[in-house]
Amino acid sequence: MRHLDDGALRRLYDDPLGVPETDRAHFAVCNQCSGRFDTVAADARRAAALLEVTAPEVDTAAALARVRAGRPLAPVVALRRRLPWRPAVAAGIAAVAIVALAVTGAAQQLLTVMQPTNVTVVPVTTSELQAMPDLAQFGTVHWSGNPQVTPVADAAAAAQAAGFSAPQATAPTGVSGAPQYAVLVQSTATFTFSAAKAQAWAAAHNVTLPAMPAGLDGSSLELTAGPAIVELYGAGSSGGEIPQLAVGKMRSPTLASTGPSVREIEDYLLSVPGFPAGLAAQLRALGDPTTTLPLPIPVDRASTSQADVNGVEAEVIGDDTGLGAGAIWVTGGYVYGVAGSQPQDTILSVARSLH
Amino acid sequence: MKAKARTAELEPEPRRPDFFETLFRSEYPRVVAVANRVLDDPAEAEDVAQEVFWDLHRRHPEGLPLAGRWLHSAAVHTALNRLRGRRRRQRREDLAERRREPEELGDPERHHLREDERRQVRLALARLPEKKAAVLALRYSGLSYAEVGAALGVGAGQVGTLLRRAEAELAHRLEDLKRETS
Repeated sequence: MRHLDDGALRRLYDDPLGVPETDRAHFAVCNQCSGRFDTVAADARRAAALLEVTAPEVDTAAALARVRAGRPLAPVVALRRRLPWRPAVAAGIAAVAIVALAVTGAAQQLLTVMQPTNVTVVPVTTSELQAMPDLAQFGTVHWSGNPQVTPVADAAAAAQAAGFSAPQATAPTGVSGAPQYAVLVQSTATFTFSAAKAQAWAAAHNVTLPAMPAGLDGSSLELTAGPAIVELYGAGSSGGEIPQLAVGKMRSPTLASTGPSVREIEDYLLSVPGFPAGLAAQLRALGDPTTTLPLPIPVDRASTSQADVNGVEAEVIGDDTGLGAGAIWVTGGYVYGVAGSQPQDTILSVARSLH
Repeated sequence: MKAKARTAELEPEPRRPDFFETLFRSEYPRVVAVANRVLDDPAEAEDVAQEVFWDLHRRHPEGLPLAGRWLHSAAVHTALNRLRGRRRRQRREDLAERRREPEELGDPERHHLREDERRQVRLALARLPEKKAAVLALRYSGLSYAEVGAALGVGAGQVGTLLRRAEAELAHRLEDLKRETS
């Protein structure tokens, strides 16, 4: 009679009645099968011990109420849904990165001058994003320059408006027609810390803030973003159709502080009550703060990986919903992004074709 | 009975539990268990479970035949995605921790060892091919061979083989990790 295969032996270990009677009868008298079973059982016992976890205590009724109330969307997803076209994912991601720079304090970046030379994904969860203290409670934001996208006629006009050359991409098969160009002018956001405002917020929320570093009150952070060139492919000759692919190039943002040292501001913001501990640890552990652009990506909505784009490591974001993919990287003082409704491989080919 | 009375008090028009509520009440603890087996973090596991149910409700408001199978599959894959995302942040946290290590020698060492082992198991799980990681999480969460097979889209007869290979590979990956860190 035939010996039992490994699968049957494994099932015999924890679900013997699921194994056919004839197999069990054979096993009862077969030394070889019995010997193999010992190995299988030992591996299973070891796996069981390794995979042991603390049993969760769940409150099903409360959980049902939460789900019925509707789950709030992660900010990136909400942003994406408001945008009129899908390739705007790249713009959305870039916007979130910039906002996060200011909001998460990107604590790391609060130095005299930061000019990123690379980009790193910081995985965040929806709950972490929701738990993040709102920086607006610690001061006031003032925008100078209108962060608005203005359509221009062609690559030459874009280059003239932005002050640098427009990237040329080889569009993937199926994406036809000349690209539409647009320019985002340089704009600056100034954030001025206010001890009084922070204290008022703390009092209203019944929390105790850490001591504000000397000199932070009244000091400012200045974030300068742009100019940037945006190219939309497959938008039709009049630009009226939904674009299939977007390519962007932006001068690396800079952040200047008129106040205390990086370390002090970082410690302060990351220790504000409610700042998610895991995220704080990540931000503290990021590479050189003057050169790394953190890109917050909700781990539950998108998958991320790295890929080489002509010798530079790019962060690749695959949208789990199948809407598309994007890649972002920093080189030569510029942040580049490619995003579209195409699969990841196609997006990477476009990224590598840029010149 | 008590729960029923409370529901009636809160809701002026008592209604029969709908498809979603019945499913939620019967499957929620198991879906959390599956996610927790992957993540070893009950709070995050609940987060995954609620997301999965919410997704089911959004996609199939009228109900879905074999919804349990859909839920188990979605839970295990969502949790594995999160685990892989966590791996990257873990690397950064490890770095941060290493910088602080000198203050933390002594008593907590034993705790650290245990923590280390747990972390390595998650890391090994994250490195397994999707199906193997999934079969481990599902079976060790108490799903039957038939349920595991349904969630993974394979016959119940193949589950044993898959499980056997996954257990062996988990052990190998852990050995590899130990070699990498030693």
